[in-house]
Amino acid sequence: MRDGGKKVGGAYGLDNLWKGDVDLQYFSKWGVAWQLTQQAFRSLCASPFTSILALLTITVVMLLVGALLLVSQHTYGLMADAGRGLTISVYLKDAAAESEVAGLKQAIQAAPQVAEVRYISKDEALKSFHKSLGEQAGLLEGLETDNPLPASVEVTLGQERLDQEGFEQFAASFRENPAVESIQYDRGLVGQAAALFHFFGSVGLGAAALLLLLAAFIITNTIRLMLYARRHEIVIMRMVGATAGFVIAPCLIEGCALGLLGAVAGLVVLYFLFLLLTGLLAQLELVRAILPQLTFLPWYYVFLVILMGVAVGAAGSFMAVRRLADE
Amino acid sequence: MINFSNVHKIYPPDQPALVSVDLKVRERDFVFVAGASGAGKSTLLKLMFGAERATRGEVLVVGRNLSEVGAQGIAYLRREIGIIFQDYKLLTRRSVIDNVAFGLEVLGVKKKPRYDLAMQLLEVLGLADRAHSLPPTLSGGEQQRVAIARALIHKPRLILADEPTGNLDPDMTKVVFDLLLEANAAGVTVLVATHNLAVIEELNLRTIVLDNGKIIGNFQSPRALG
Ligand SMILES: Nc1ncnc2c1ncn2[C@@H]1O[C@H](COP(=O)(O)OP(=O)(O)OP(=O)(O)O)[C@@H](O)[C@H]1O
Ligand SMILES: [Mg+2]
Repeated sequence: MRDGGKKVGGAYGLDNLWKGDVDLQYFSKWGVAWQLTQQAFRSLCASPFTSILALLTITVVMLLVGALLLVSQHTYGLMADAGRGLTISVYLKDAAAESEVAGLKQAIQAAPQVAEVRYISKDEALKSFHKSLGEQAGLLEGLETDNPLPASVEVTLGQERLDQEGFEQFAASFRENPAVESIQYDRGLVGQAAALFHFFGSVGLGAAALLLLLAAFIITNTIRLMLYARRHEIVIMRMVGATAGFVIAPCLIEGCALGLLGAVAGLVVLYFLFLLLTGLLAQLELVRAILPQLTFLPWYYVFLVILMGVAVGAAGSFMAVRRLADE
Repeated sequence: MINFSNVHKIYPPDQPALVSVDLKVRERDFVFVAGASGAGKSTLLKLMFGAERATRGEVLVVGRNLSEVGAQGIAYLRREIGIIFQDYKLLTRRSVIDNVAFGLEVLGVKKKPRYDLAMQLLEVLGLADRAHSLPPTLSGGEQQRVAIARALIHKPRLILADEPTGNLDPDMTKVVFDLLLEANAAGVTVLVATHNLAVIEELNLRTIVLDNGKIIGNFQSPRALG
């Protein structure tokens, strides 16, 4: 009874089967999307070792990316503090009309980098000079009547970070003003701050880019392995009429899922490391005195890291399936 | 249904497999493709379902010019074709019924109707009691029937079978051909590549003979020729 007792040589009833209106209900778009997602997770689970290894690596990579962001964020904070201290003294011509000075003050005030503008009259300048000389103040006697010190506008910079060039430009823009005699500021501090900022900025950016590239590369290889494990299935899928998209979509979902999970896991680990570290640092009086309040990444950076994870997953898996599209 | 005109196929770099083939198969035809090993039978079928592209000439299948359709078009073409391979090409780690339903799965048919239909088809083919076994635990003939069930489930307009009985004994061979004949009777065009001359002679249906990539014979009833 090798063929299950069916009659050989006639009525298998194929005709009836095809005529008997079996209602072939098709999935909706969302149904298909769900089906493809299930396929993606089935594929991830089918090679658990590969999946977990990839996930761990991406977790570490995204942890490092998050850590870089955290460090640069705090460097930014310190930078802003350094920048905040900066003042520019704009010395005014004695002959400058009052209206000209008012106009200049207004123009400076309008610049976004500026936190505070203070007008220092000739008298005030002399008074503060007086005070700074202390006991030797007697040297200045007689100057009250013929005050040589110019009036000035003292500009204090706000949190807006300035790089070297931006700063020079900003200062130069007031030099043109007819009321202005000269401008003075601490070039060294600005230069140092800008250099530090650039250094941290470019090193961090470069490292993050490399790490993300590494994550994409890992995902590409993981998806390739998955495709290899499923190669027979894929051939059969194509032979029964699956579109390229039907084969590719689960791979892209796999890649995005690995990127997403890796980023979330990396952030969670980073958060606990952050708690641990700040807990330890808080016990050291000295550190507490120097460092500003340490905070974790703000929500939009957390979101950014997760987004980068997904993007890296999409890009990595796209690289793996690129060729499948036109086979 | 199928129209080849002046079709050449040269496998890279320079392995000729088909030479100037002209072939016309009408709807509801049942056609054998015979020929020695290496004659080009499989190549002919591969051109029909788009697994290979013609080097020269025009290939029309189910109303499509295959040199003009892209990957997407080939996928849609295959939904109208049931392909049966000599080596079955079953998913060895999924059950028999999964394999049969697979033909509908990739088309986006819901689970219940696709498994209902797969089960009905397995009943028709006498395999209902093996529905939940894995293919490797089945005999060659049973596996071939699973492959046939998968090729039939979406009610194709054309069946392309490459050596569907290559590994089967005469009894199972008869079962397979009875099924193909029944599908043909239900309106499906069938094209079978085989070197099983006994079957060709017994069924006495239109037969195309290939030799070294050329069509050297096109017989309406091969038995008359002996
Ligand atoms: N992928 C390939 N690359 C190069 N040459 C190939 C390829 N496939 C087939 N050929 C060659 O093309 C010719 C026809 O092969 P084909 O597989 O079509 O023959 P066949 O008639 O199906 O033979 P068989 O009865 O053994 O299956 C043979 O000479 C074969 O070596
Ligand atoms: Mg062959």
